[in-house]
Amino acid sequence: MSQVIDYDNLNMLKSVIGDDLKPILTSFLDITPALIKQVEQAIQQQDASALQHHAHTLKGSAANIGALALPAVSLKLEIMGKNGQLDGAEALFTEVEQAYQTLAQAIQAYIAEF
Amino acid sequence: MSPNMPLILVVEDELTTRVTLSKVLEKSGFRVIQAANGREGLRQFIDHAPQLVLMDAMMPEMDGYETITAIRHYEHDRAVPILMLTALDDLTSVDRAFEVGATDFITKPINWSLLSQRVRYSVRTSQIEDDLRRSQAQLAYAQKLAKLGYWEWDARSDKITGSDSAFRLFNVPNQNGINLENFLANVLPQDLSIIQQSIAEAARGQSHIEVSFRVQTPQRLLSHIECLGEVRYDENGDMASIIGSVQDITRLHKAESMIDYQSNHDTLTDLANRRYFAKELDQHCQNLGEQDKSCVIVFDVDRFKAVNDNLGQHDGDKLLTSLAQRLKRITREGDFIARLGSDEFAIIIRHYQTPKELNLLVSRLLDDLKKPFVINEQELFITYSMGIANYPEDARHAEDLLREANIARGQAKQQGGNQFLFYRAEMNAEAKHQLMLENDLRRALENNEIEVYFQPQVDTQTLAPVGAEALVRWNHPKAGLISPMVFVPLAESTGLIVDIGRYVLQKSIEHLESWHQAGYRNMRVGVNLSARQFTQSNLILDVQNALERTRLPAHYIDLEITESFAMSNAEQNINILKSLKAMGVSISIDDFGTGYSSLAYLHRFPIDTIKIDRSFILNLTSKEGQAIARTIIAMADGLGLEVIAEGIEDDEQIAFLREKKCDILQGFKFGKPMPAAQFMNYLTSHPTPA
Repeated sequence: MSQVIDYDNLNMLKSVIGDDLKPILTSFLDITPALIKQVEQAIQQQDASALQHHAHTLKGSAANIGALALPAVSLKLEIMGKNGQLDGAEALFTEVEQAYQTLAQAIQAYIAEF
Repeated sequence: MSPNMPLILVVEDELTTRVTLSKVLEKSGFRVIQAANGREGLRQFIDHAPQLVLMDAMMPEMDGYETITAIRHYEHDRAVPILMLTALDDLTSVDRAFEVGATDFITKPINWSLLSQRVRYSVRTSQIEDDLRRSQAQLAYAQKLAKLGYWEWDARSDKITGSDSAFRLFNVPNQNGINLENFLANVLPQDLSIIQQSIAEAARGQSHIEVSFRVQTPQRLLSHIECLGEVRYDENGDMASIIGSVQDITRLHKAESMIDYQSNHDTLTDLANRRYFAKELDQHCQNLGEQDKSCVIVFDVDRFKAVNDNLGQHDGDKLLTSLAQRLKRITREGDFIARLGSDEFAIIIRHYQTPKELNLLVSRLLDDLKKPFVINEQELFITYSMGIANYPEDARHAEDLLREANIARGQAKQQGGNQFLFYRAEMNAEAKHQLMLENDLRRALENNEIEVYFQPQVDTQTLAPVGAEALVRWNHPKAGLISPMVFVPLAESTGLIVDIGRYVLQKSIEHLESWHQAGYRNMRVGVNLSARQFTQSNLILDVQNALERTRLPAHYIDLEITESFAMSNAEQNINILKSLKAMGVSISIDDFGTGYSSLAYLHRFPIDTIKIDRSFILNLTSKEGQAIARTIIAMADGLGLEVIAEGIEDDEQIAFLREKKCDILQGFKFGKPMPAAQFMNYLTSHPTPA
């Protein structure tokens, strides 16, 4: 399986902001399910521009804490939204959910080691 | 957190990223404010005036581009750096970011270790730019202090709308919707055509108007008004409206007339100054006919320095003022009087008929001038040395007349003063001497009479030699060593300086090589460039040729130009210096502090080093002198420039400059300018650096 998180970047962040990283990661885990929900709704409602926007947000948010797989699949959805071509979005969305599950576990494990 | 730390505004809709950005910046010492969308970001920007903005591109409500556009619109003279956060894969967003006015961009995912560096660098760069802008803005601000009004003219309906102040400045009642003719009712009739002309040009496509005219004020005075306007056109290209500002520039206008007057008059005595005199004399000479007789009288006070020292500055000024008043009284109407220098005056006798008449006139003048002055209830007797040159016998051109009158005055002074002398051709001996010297100078190079001396430069902290300034000397076969103060101006005026300069550059590089070969591998050499070399020779080619002959890296060669020259034609000089810089040589500004430097230009000059003038080092004994030196060094540090202090003579100066982190020292303390062989001896008395 490919790497879930760029630990180098995450550790870098930890070395800059120290313990304050913990609440940030916790809040990431709090917020992201709602964000994923918005992506899902956009797909269900075939709302391309909403999909583009929410997938973009999800991508950026995840990428900045060092996630690898989730931003990649979010980008694909974002492009679909941008092109107004949502065929296959549902299938990608399951990948989003899976990527998030793996990511959430990895982050929880990371927090536990603090 | 210290309130002095730069304030950063983070505009990002996505919470995790926003909080992370803020945390990272706070940990790096910045103060941070946050906004979750563009609209809020603009609000925060207006309320808190941050020093830098981090802006996400895609946001709901107002996206990053719209927000930057709004911010740039809102700012007047500042340009706060805005770093756009964009996805690495999104090239078009980068283009767009720059288009709307972003300063730089940061790619997502954000590299957290570099972020603070990038932000810090951006803040620092903009602070330097801000400082420069502020000095330029001061002038603009001074003008803004004058009353400003706003007006708009709808060309199709011929209706004027405007601010209260605009109506006031045009001296018409505030009635929005009045037509142009009524709006301009109080403009001075003879100035109306200027405005009509501008409007006609606007209609023909001149999209910017700038016009000044006079308006009759309620007090029946005239005010000077300036209008600036932007012209708008409809889709057919027809003029739709003009929108602009109006400003009362009466005071500016007065100041300009005042400046004009002051630039032609001496402030102490109110007589014409040298500049005005030269202009007037030139004009006068051109108007004289074949039969006319005229003359120039130049005189000064004998031993004025002693007189002035006795009286003190204040009473010395009184004496000069009284003298000027007396001159006005005793000269004939139509003759022109000027104060050329401190105690130096001149008179143009516009017309006289016979030499006898002139003789009488001059004798009477001198007699009147010799009568005692009463300063502080004391009678003061002073005498004068006076020289006279006649038109057309002695010369026909203004400059020649003035020069010859001065030569005659010099002779009168040499013969003990208290007399007047008419110019005679023999007096030209001095001028002939110059000519001979000039001829000798032409042969000096081929006769190997020009020699390059070197004065040591040392590291301020270690006092180890780090370089030398090359200085030119002339060993005249008969007259011995001739001071550069004498022959360099001569070489400048004849153009010989170009050949001499080329020679000095070559020799300097040859010696520099020998020092490096002897193990002094940090040594550099400073070579002075004269104004003439800069403007009239193919300097770039000369430097290129000199560099091709050596294998030394070019940065060891430091070309020096004086501050006053550098600033004299800044735009052109910047370009030449950039070309030199491109060849790798270092550039110094010499005599720094003695000329007038525009900070804006200084920043743009591609220079590496400034040399603080020796006069400031001499003044280090005073608090003010120390403050000036400290300021120059701090400024140089801010601009990333190296500092050399010249004229070091004692340990106190060294201690001060060492503490202030001046980089390099030069002066008699470390060695006078010396021939190359002696300089090598000087070097070998110091250990080679490890």
